Amino acid sequence: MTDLKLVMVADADAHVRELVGRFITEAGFDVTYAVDGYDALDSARVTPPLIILADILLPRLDGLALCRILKGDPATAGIVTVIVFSVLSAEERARKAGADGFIQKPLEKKRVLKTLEDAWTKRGGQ
Amino acid sequence: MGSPENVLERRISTGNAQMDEVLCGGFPVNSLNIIMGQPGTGKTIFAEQMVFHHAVDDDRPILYLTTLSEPVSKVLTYLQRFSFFDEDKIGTVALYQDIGPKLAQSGVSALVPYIVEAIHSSSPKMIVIDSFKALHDLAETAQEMRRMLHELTSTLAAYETTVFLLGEYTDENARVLPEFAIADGIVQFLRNPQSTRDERFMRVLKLRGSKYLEGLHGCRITSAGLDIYPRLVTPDFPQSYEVHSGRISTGVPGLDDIMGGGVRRGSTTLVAGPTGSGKTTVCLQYALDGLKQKERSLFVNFQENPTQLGYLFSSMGIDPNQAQEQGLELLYTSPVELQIDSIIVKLFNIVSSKKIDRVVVDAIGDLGRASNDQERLHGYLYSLIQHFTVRGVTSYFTYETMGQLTETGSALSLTQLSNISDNILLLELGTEPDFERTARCMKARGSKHDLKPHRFEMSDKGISFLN
Repeated sequence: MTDLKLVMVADADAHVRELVGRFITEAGFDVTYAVDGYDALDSARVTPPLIILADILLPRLDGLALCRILKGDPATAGIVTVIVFSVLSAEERARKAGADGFIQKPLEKKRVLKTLEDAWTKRGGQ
Repeated sequence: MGSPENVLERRISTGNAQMDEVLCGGFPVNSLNIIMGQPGTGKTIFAEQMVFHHAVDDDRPILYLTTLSEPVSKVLTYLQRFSFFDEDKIGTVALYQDIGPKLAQSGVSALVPYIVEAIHSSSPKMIVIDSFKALHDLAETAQEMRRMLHELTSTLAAYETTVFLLGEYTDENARVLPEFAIADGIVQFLRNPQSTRDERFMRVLKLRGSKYLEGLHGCRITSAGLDIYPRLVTPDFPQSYEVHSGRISTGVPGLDDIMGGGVRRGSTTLVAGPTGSGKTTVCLQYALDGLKQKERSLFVNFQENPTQLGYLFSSMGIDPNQAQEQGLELLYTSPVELQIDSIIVKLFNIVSSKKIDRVVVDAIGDLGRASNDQERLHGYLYSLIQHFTVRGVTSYFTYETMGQLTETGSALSLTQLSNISDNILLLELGTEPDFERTARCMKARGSKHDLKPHRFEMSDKGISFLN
C-alpha cells in the first residue's frame, strides 16, 4: 500500500540526496533514500512511496529504466509517481520512459516542490 | 512536462553591459567562477555591481560572504560611495555575512556546513565568497583545503546557484591551486603602471563551454562602478558588403583634383606633415564640408581642448556651437590621460550611435605615445578602419613628421600606416626665405591621382591650392 507521506530520493550523489531530502522533509514529507536503481526498485516494491525522484545516471539500473519497470508493472504502475531528474537536458527521454515529471539539475527548493505538486496533481492526487 | 530548457545556454548578466559583451552574454547560469586580481584592481567592485544588479525584490536573495580579508562593515562603508548601492537591499535581498570569525575559530571545514545552512535558510540564487584565497592561509594542510573544496563544489553543483570566488590570486596561483581546475569561468583584473598613471585591464582566462572575447580589455573605476572597454576586433565581414564607390569632396579648394576627384566614400586618408604644415586645418575643412553636405562629422583630437579648438574654428569664421548643432561631434581627451582602449571604444561608440559619416583623428602619434605596444595599436587601428570601411565611414588621420617621413618616437612607422591607409597626403614646408607650402598625394588607392607637389596657401579662410 502506498505511503502517502513518503518520497523516495534515488541518487548516487550523497550531496544531492542530502539537499533534496531536506527540501522535502521541510515540506512535511517523510523521505527514504536509494543509492542505485535496483535498491530503489526493491524498496518501491516493498513499500511504494507517494513519489520517486530518480536520477537518470543511477548505477546498476538507470533512472529511465527504473521508471519503465515501475510504469510497466501493474503492481506499481498505478500507485507510484515517478519524477526523473538529471544534469542532462533529457525531458523528452523521461517523458517517453513514462515519467510524470522532469527536473533539470542543479536543484532549488521551490522548483523541486512545484514539480512534485504538479506531477502528483496531474495523476489525480490531492 | 513543459518544453525543455537548455540550462547550458542560459547566461546570467554581470549587470555591466560591456562585461556581458566580453563574456558573449554573461556567465553561464549555475556556474562556479573565480574573479582574480591583485588588491585595487577592481574585482570586488565588479562583484558588488553584479550583486546589486541581481538583488531584486520577490526573488531569491544574493549571499555575500566575507572571510578574512575585510569585515562586512568595511566592505559596506566603501560600497556606499557607488551609485549602484541601494541601502534598502542590504539584509533583504543582498545578504552580507562575515564568516571570518567562525572560520578563524573552527577552520576551513566550517565553510561548507555554513553554506548548507544558508541554502536551506535563505535559498540564495548567487553566492559570492570574498576572499576565497584567504582560506588557504587558514587550512593547516593542502589536503584539508582540497577536501573542503571537494565538499564545497559537490554541494554547490547539486544546488541551483551561481558562485563567485574572489581572491588576490597571482598567475602562479592560477597554475597550481585546485580551485582553478574546477572553476567554470576565470576572470582576471590587472593594473599596469604606465608612465605617471596606471592602466587597468581585465581578461577572461576560461569560460567553460562558452565563447568570449579574448585578450586584454581596458577598464576604469568610476562612481558608477567599473567601465570596461571591450577590445575592438576586426568585424565579422558579411559574405559581401557594399564597396562604396562614390567620392566625396575633401572640402579644400583645388585638392579634390589632386586626389583624383576627392576621396572614395569609406576610405581612409593619412594626412602627414611637420608641425605647422596645415594638417589640422585640412582635416577641419574636410569635417566642416561634411556638414554642408548634411553629413555628420566627428573630430577627435588630443592636443587642443574644446576652448582651444573653438578659437581655431572662430579664426576660420566658423561658429563652433552652430557647427555642433549642424552635426559636428567633438571628442577631446588630454594626451596625459589618454588610454588607447577607452578612446578607441569611445570613438567607435560615437560613430555607431551618432551615425557619423566622416571621422578625423588628430593625431595618430598621440595614440602611439599612449601605447607602448606597437602591435596592439596597429591591431586597434586596423580593426577600427575595417569597421569604418564596412559602414561606409570616411576617415582622416593626421601624422606628424619631423623633417623625415618617420615621426620621432612614434609607435608606428609611416610604412605600417600606409598599409592601412587608402590615401596619403603629404604636406611639406619649404625653407627660408619663402617657407613655401606644398602638398603631394603619395597614394590614392584605386584612383588616378596627381603625384606632383602642389603649392597651397593658408589664410583665415583655411587652405586653398594656387592653381
